Amino acid sequence: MRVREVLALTLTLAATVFMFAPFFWILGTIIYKGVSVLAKAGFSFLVDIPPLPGFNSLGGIANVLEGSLLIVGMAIAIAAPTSLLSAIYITLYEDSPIARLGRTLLDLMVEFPTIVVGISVFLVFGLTLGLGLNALVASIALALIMIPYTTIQAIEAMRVPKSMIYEGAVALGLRESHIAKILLIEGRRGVITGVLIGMAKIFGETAPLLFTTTTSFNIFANSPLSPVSAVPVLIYVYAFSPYTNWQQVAWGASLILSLVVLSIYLSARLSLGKGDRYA
Amino acid sequence: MHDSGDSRPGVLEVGKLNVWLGKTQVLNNITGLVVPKNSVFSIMGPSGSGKTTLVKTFNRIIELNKEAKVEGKITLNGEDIFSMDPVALRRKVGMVFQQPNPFPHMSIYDNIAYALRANGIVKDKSRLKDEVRSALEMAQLWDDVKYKLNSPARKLSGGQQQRLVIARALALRPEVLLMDEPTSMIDVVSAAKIEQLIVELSKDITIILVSHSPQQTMRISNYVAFLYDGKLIEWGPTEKVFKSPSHRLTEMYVIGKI
Repeated sequence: MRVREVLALTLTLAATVFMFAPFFWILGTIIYKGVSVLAKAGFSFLVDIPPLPGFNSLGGIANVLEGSLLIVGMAIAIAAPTSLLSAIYITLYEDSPIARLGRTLLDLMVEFPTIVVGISVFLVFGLTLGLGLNALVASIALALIMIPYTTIQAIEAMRVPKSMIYEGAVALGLRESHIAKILLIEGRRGVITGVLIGMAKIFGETAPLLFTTTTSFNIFANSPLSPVSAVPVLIYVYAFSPYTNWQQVAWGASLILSLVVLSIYLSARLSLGKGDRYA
Repeated sequence: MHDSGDSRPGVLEVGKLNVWLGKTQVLNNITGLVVPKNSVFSIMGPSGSGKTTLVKTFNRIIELNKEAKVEGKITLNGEDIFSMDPVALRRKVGMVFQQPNPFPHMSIYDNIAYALRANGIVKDKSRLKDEVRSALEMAQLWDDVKYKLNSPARKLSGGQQQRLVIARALALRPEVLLMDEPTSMIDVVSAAKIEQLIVELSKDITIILVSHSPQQTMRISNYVAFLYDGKLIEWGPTEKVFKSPSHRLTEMYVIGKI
């Protein structure tokens, strides 16, 4: 019996370590390759534009970083209010057919291939509506990907408070709009976490941007309707290029992107962890 | 069944009330029940007798249960509650639940002020402060919390949370306050304070109290109704029901045999 317990513990521990290993291997590789690039390029990596073909300098990723920040910011502006409002509806009217359908569709949307979202948005907004490739179209694609993550998290954040306070709030003669406000106050940390998780998810998304952004990496977007590029797309294109300096830029950009995404995830965890949980 | 034998006018009157939850009939033809004004009216009975369902019908909270079906008549000061706007009804008939349920992340102050503001009862800030203080004083909680009104409600003890919830309900100046076993989840000392509070409050409002404890019922109520298996067995002044019950089931319940 004792041997069996030790064996079981060893196996489960080994499986857990095995599960962590790829993450640390990937992170280690990115840090190893990326740090040397950042050390060589210095601060100019964040303020210079990427190198053009034929140039041996490292340059930087300023314009794609600006592009990423712009489209992620716009995607949040679209997705956060939409998610919040639908989460409130689904939480308050959870038994209604629309809420039940919405909840099922959210689960489906999370699993939906993001490349399909990209091509669909490009087809509808880029071609049919004639908007072309620009920041707005890219942010719509990212918003569609972000919405299910943020909405599901917001629903979960409000579900437990609802079960505890809903009857009490109704008994005070409060109307649904006032109860929704209480749920937002009570579940605010979870809601913020949802936005952060959604943000982290779309910051690193590549597939939908392949259809909605440009691969001209030397332009700055100056309006929502400007053509734009993004960090993941630069990594994708530069990593496959035959130029050594481009490949180095891709490693440096990978490190920056990983740091941004990890920081957002860490903030999300801290935001959730800080709150007093409901029993 | 008895009538109150008292000159107090009735606030709530129940006639031919039947309630189903799904296919189960939880209340069976409750009729002739009159809750006298400014009294403590206890509803007692064994588990599953329909006590909570009955009080939840008085403010139509029962309708939150999609499976609930209600038939019959209940009047509040002569007005049929089923033809009233449920939101307006709930402002007149407040409710305190078994488990203290303040809004935990809201401040103590906002727990009381929120409904007053949201319901448009008080808009002026200084009057709002007065109303919050008055509600906390009525619930005998002011001295405990006057220096920490901005603290979140979750930091209060269970007994204090229950008094906060009572204060929150009282702030709306209800005519009737429903209390569903308000002392069952809190410590003995806090329970004693709430019992004392109930007696005090009944000078101004009508309290309908669900209680599992015949001793508590005897200590604090003026009237008592006994429910058994969804049926109203009898009701009347507490002393009379306890000392000379008119039904064998009531007698057995009072002496602890059911």
